[in-house]
Amino acid sequence: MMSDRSVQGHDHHGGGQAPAQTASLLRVRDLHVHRGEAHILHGLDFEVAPNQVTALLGRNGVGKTTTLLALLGLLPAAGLVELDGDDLADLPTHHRVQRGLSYVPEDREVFTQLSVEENLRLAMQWPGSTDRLPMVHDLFPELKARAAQKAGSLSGGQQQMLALGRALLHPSKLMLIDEPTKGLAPIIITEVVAALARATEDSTVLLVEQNLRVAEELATDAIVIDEGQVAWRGPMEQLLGDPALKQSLLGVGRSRSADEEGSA
Amino acid sequence: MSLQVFVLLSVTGLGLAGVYFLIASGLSLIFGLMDVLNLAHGLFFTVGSYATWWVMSRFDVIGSLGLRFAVALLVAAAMGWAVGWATERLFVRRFYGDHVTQILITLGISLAGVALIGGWFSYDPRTFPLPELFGQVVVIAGARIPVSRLLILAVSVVLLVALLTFLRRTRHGLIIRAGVENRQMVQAMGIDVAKSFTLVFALGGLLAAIGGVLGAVFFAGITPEFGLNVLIFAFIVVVIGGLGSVEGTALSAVLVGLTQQFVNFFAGAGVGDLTVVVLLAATLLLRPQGLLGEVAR
Repeated sequence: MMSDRSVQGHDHHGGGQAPAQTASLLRVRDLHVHRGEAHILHGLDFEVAPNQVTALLGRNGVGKTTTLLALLGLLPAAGLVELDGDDLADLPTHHRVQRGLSYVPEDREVFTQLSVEENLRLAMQWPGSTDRLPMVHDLFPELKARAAQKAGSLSGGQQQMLALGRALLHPSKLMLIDEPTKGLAPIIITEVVAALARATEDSTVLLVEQNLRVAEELATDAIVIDEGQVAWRGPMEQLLGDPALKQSLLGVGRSRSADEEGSA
Repeated sequence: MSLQVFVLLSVTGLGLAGVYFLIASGLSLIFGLMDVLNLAHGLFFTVGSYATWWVMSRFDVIGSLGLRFAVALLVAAAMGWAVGWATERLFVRRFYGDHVTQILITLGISLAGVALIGGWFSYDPRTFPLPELFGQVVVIAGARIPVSRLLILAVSVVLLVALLTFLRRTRHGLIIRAGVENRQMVQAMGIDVAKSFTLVFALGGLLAAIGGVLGAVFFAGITPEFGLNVLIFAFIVVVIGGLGSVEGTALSAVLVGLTQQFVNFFAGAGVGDLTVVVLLAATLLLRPQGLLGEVAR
């Protein structure tokens, strides 16, 4: 019944094609999250297709970060979470990560008291991590140059690179990336997005991003959450090409969308 | 103040600081990593001091008291490790996130432990023979310093260095330091942080038990409540130093140990203890995160 409603939703909006069921890497069914008294997610259903970036969009406070935390098992949740056929729902966080999730949190959450090198070393526990370190240093040369520096003394952009580099050392199946450009200066955003585009070229990513221009640049498909459910899913282009849809789902105003299209 | 008095009080204060550091460092790591206020930590200390008494007064087979003392240190360390390990595995583990229950359960372990030791060995103060060397004095800048004070200081410094090396140079240490800062993110990197919980409890037990050995030497006698009395000052040391910071704990232990000795000497016994409480209040007002602590997230 829940999925019927979301399908109605997207039909109503003249919607896009749902990605083919068989090709999905992550399958989420009827995901519910309560936080205290509040029922934040009321039965989320979605898939993430492999080898591409899928953007998870929606208005502020709609539950995008909550969704990522629930997938990781960092928040208590009910529902099916299946990664590459593996049922993750009852596993503790570290086991879910071992099954193939990696995570770049919203506020970067690098270990500020540890050096850059120690932050990376903490992540180097997987077969293949050692081979990936040169790739990370290549993407973010600053991390090599500042290896001995305490992570807490890095700028916001450098901390973001460290958080990304740390996640990239894990040869995971699915990267969960939460607002990688939040709070960064425009020039840094350009740099981070370019690195992200290169780093995630052949990876599967579920990306939460408020900045629509960034989401457009990185993501192929979009999933939009509204009122605790999936309100729309389909190709990113289609969502952005439809001002009425954008307005109703994301609350992006007319003038701002015109501005965004102008510079896109 | 003559130089002799100054040196004597300093060495004594630093010895006391060493004892405080050993009990407080584990307490600080346990709270920093797991948010557990471990009221059973005083028991780990008492276990160490009773292990010393037991070995020193019963192990007649080892003729040399010096050798016997070395054995006492090892036995205390092993028992402290075991009691710390068991406390986490059997009790604390079941109640992560439930602070009130954890406080009650560690308090219960502490009281039960004191009663058990008291019932077994009696509540009378115990003394025990120590190697002759401990009673000898060395003269430093005119001050006659008992060798035992220097030994306490030396053992504490060695353990401080060992602990810092462990935290900075090993993977376990790296995980513990990261976990003190952000436990959830450590899990989100695929690391089973619960393994570190047990390790930190066992390590804290070991350090506190060795603190109990040195404390027994420092105070020249023990009672079953010994650890509880020292625990109060250990908490003060932890808060002043900053939760989860071993370096901060060391610094704060020195500050508290010296303050206590000097004020007790010049202003009268007991005033030093009070002054330490004033230091605590001042820290909480001026720098609530402690000397080297970070604002917790």
